[in-house]
Amino acid sequence: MHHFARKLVATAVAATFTLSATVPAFAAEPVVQGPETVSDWWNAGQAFVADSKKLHANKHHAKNVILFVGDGMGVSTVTASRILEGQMKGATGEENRLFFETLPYVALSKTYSWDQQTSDSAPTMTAMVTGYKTREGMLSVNHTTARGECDAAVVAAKSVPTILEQAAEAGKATGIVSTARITHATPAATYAHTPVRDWESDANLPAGCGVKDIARQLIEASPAVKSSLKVVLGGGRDQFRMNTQIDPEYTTKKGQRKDGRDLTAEWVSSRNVVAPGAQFVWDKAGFDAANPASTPFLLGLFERSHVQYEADRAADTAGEPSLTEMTAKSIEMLNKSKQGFFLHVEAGRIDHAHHAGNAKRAMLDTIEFAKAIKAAYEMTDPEETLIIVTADHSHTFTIAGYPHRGNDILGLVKEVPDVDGNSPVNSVDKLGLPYTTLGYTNGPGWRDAVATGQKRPDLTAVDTTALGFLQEAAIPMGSETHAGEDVPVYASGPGAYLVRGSMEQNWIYHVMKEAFRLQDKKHDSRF
Amino acid sequence: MKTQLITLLLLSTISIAAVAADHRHPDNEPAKTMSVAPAATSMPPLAARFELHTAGRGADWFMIREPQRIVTFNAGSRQGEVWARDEQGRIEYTRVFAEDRKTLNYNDGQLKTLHMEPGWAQLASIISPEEVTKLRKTGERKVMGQRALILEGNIDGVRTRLWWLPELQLPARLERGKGKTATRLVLREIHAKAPAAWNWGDESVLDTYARLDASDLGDMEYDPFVQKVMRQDGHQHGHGHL
Repeated sequence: MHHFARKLVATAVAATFTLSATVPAFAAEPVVQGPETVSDWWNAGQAFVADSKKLHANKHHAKNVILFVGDGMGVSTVTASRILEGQMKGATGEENRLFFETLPYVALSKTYSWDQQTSDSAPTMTAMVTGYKTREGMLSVNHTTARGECDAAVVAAKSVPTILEQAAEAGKATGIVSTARITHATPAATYAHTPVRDWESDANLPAGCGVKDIARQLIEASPAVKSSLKVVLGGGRDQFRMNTQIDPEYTTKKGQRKDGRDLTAEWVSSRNVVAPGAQFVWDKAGFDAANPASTPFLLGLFERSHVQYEADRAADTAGEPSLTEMTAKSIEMLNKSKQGFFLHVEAGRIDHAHHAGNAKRAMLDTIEFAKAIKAAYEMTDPEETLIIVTADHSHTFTIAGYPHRGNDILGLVKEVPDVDGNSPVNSVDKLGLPYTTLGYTNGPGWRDAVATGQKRPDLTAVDTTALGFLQEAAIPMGSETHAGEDVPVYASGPGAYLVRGSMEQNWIYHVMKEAFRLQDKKHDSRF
Repeated sequence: MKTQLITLLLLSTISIAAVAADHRHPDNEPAKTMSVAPAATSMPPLAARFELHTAGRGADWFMIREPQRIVTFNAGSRQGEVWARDEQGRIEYTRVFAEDRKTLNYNDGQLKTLHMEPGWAQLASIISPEEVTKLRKTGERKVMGQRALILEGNIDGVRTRLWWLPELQLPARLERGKGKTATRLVLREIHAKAPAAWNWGDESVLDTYARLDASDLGDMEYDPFVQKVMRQDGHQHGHGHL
């Protein structure tokens, strides 16, 4: 029942009992209760103001910058994941905060690209790491680049330097961590320049195309990046290995490269020239054995394609490190640099789980992402490390209905009972059927009313909290889409105070550049 | 889910992804875990050619059954499927698009996300042995020198007639539905080992195709091939759901 109607009922009941002088029914103990006392609300508010007054803008330059990107992690994902994490700890959940929600500076980021109202990961990450917005599907080239441009000289002319490349030029150590393929759009934008995000290996290039594939660009980086990029951890072995080479984990499968090059071996050989001891690892045992103190360069590719969802990682036969473990090891390696470091960490599969319409996997990956950020914060000096946490774009994921406090975020909506003492019951739609709190505007969660003969499914006896449950979608699609609303930006450390208000997504680069005190590029009149 | 998988294997123009997303799949049916161990009933390796008739159209439909690999291919649509099981019991599913020279790969994690975890015995015999037991025997005959049981009944409310080869664990004829929407599969050719020309699912052939990870489809809606797959997998009627 809506709030206004509840107030009417409560008022009417109160009036009745006042007249009759009997004990009011709503004097019974509410079944739904938050854990707070009355004074808790007040005290928390006062503490927040007191903490806010202590905030000082750290205007020192940043020794280190870490850019965390939750791919597809819009505000609704953050809210739902926060509640799930809290409920997993045994609490009502709403009052919980994911670790990065405790960072002091927050802004909203506008994610449109030069030619998209709702963007994909390529131009959005390009915006964050270069300071320029660009076109759909393009990585770290400007928006005057033609689709499918295959002239390497043209692409080179239209390339825009990335924060990773600039940090490398400035003598800093750099690193990349992702749960997606390392050649996938978000991590690739930090080191590759290409008009087509799908050109991940030479097998994806059109015949005769002069632009290097993304995997090659990682290995054949500039001298500065070669000596700077100490650690690269994620998925995507196939893009680096030959189509004649047996995969070490899936021994009936081979790599994808057609050019006869084993780029994992080339990583080792090329980096050994810089400093001996470079390693390529592909499983948890190899990862664990790599000693950060004595390993100058580490490439870890733990799956042929993307790594497992966090919910499924424990079942991986070869074993994969978690995002937190990869982040921690990277920082251990990068912290050896006296000049400091730039690190990019991506939770790349929140996006994939949302595309699959599978909220629980998306939320569990988000919770793991928050743990990785906490680990990074604890391993670095917050006075000299700028940490930025954001998303590239959002998803059509919604939190709806009027579920009561502490209602299972993955469950059916049960409202606050009208009468204190009553237990919550399922809320129902116009058809008399219950519905979940979580849903999607579009995607594979659509149920075919004509084929099933049911206008909506009856979820009464369905375990909607199951790992693989697909939340309902209003519009049928094989894959759920991105969404165009703004995404959050959280920041702490030197320069974090520059994260404020409503920001264009490419301004995030400018904040990092300022924090690092990178030299200004001369304005190029070609643009 | 079982019936939908049978339908899928019969109608290889339709992807398992589409059928898995088709929410005729009861929400209260838990995702079935995959059967890692070989089926209790012996399923000899074989290669078979069927005639597949659906919605008034006919095409050759092929099935190659190996202990750890099942390949199907529809010569009309030039699309096929490969289910492969490795030594750790992990299942990988590959959709083959021969005209496009592309494959779409689903690893075990992706299959779990999409509720696509069919039993191996079910994949290997087109119609699951459990469903065969639901049909009533009405006769016997010989087909290609093999003893065939004639079975009839309803499976998931759909009229079904089956000529079942118990030694091979394979249908010789399978009819589902009635009239214009009926689907019919008729065995025309069988070998112990696939002829060399039936190589659509060979690793040597698939290695020459461009590979896509099914997890990436959502981020590739600009791609014409992905658009084609999504249209094909869409929630449209006329796929001949039985």
